Amino acid sequence: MLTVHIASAAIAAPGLDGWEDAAAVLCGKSPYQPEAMRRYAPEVLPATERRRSSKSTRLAVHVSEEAVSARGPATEKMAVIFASANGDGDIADQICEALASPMRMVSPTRFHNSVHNAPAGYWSIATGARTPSTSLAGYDATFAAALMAASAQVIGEEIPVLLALYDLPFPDPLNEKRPMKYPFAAALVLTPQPTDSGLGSIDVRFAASDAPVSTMTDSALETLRSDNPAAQILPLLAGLARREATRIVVGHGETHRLGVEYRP
Amino acid sequence: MKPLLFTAYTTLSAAGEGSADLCDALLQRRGGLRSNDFEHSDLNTWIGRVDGLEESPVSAALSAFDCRNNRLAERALALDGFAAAVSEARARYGSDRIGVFIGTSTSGILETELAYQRRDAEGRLPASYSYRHSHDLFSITDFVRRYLDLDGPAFAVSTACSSSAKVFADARRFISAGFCDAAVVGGVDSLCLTTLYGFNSLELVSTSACRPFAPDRSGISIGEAAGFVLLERPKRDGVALLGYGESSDAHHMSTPHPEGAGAALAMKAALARAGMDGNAVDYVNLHGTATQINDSAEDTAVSSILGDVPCSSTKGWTGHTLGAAGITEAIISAMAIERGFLPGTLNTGEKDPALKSRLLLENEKRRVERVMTNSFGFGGNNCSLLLGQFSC
Repeated sequence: MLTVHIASAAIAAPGLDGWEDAAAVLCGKSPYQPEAMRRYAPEVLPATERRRSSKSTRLAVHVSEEAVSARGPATEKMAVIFASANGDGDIADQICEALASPMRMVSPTRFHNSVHNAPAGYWSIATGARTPSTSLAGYDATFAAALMAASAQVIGEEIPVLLALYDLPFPDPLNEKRPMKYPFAAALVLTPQPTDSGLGSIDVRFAASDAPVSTMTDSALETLRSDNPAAQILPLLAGLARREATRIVVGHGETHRLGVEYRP
Repeated sequence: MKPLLFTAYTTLSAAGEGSADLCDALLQRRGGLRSNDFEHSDLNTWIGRVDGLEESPVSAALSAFDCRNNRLAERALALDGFAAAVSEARARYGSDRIGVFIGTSTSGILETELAYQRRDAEGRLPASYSYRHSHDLFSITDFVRRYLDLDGPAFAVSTACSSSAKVFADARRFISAGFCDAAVVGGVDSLCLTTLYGFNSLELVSTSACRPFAPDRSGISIGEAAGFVLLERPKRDGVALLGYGESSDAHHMSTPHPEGAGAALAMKAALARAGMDGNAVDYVNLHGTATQINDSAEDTAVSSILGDVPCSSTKGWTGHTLGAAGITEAIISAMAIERGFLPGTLNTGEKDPALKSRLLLENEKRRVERVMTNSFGFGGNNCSLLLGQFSC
């Protein structure tokens, strides 16, 4: 079992635009009204990188920017973990389309944007941070895997870690094979020690279990949670928003669960 | 940091089927590269292709996962007594106390590339195509954990060409955190059109066998490989992970920092974690991809951090195996320590006089205690591992 502290949180999803507004929805003060997401253009990205980067990178960088712009540790001392099951589905589609044509002309920018660590690369260019970064994928258990990886790094290396989760639906025809309806991104800054104006702490425990995973009581929010691997973080974010001790269960394959105990 | 012992390992690449074969290839300077004969591409380049993958589907029990990448993984897992060693470890620790962390850059994307060519009139993909079991990044990790019957913490690391060096750092962190007691780390990347035509679009692909650190080096030769290491807390002597270092360039998406600033940070961090200085390193297995800028940036970083240390790139044997490069070269480094030799640099006739490092062209027979192995990827993602002989 590991204990880490949460310095800040960020979110970008249909009807959940930014932590302050989303927290009001997640704790039940405002009704949840799913609506189309606006187009994000993270200020932290230099103009050239903003132009070159893809939609999924801009979404991942946007939530990262929101998470660190809150009071907390400085980016130049923070390791980063970007976690996504699908990575950049638009780019995969565009490259496979190009490779199916006789000329097989792949755009160089598209190719370098196709790496799973594209958001991490753009983030380090934007912030100038030369700190470690990694990029993970764990299919529908991506959140459980990434939360373990982040906690292990925070404690083992005594360093703040920015954990950003993002997943977007594939375009057709891949969407039929890996169905997903809604984009979702969220980020946490995790620290080894409590921070001023931090959001509390979590105990993270990996164990054999087939306990049901935590769900959302609001049916529209539950639709979002069950749609997107990154949205597996929603029950934890709801606990954070309510500032109320919460125990949640996150799926890790058929046989194991990640138990997360939140204390404000 | 506390060392982690390499208790078993296995490797498969164009240069060798299993560790003994790869070691012979290194000692006899028998490279695995050839003019492109990949059945799906006629690009004018050289590749490191593993023979026979086209005809050998994965075993029946895991047939849903059949794709070139998982075929490569399964063949490697069956070599070097690796699966048996993992089975013993599973009996000792329990199946959920062994983590599985696998690096890959493109997983089984070749299946999607081929499926796009077979779309029906409505643009739909063939019914037989499964995204989850091939293209999805976790497919490779899922396949490995099922093959080895493990259910500990598991994910895929995908940081381009540093992916399967990074998994060693994750293994150390997960074991320290108590999430597991041992780990299977690995890297698997197989030939596909995305990387062949993608690197070609950036003019980084050589039309001959790659020549790392040569004055006329002209780019990479793409290879495919699978490699796995079982890491445990040491209870006997052997080769161990002594340190790891990770960094970001914060410079450019597809070219390294020109002075190798991020690469230098990664090597420094690996030394610091091991509590050692540059003098402790007997040999550097370079990332050495044979592009003009990669080699010159790494050269600057290596000579600034480690001085006049013997170094070489083994990519002339295997090709650049991308997400499998880290594990393949960690295993080569382990063999250099165990067998007491330094591999030279294949295909490179002379060293670029503009480069400062002490590049070995020929092999050398000598005692080797500690090796630094470098892996640097797109997005400016760097990872250096320090391996060494460990005595209880």
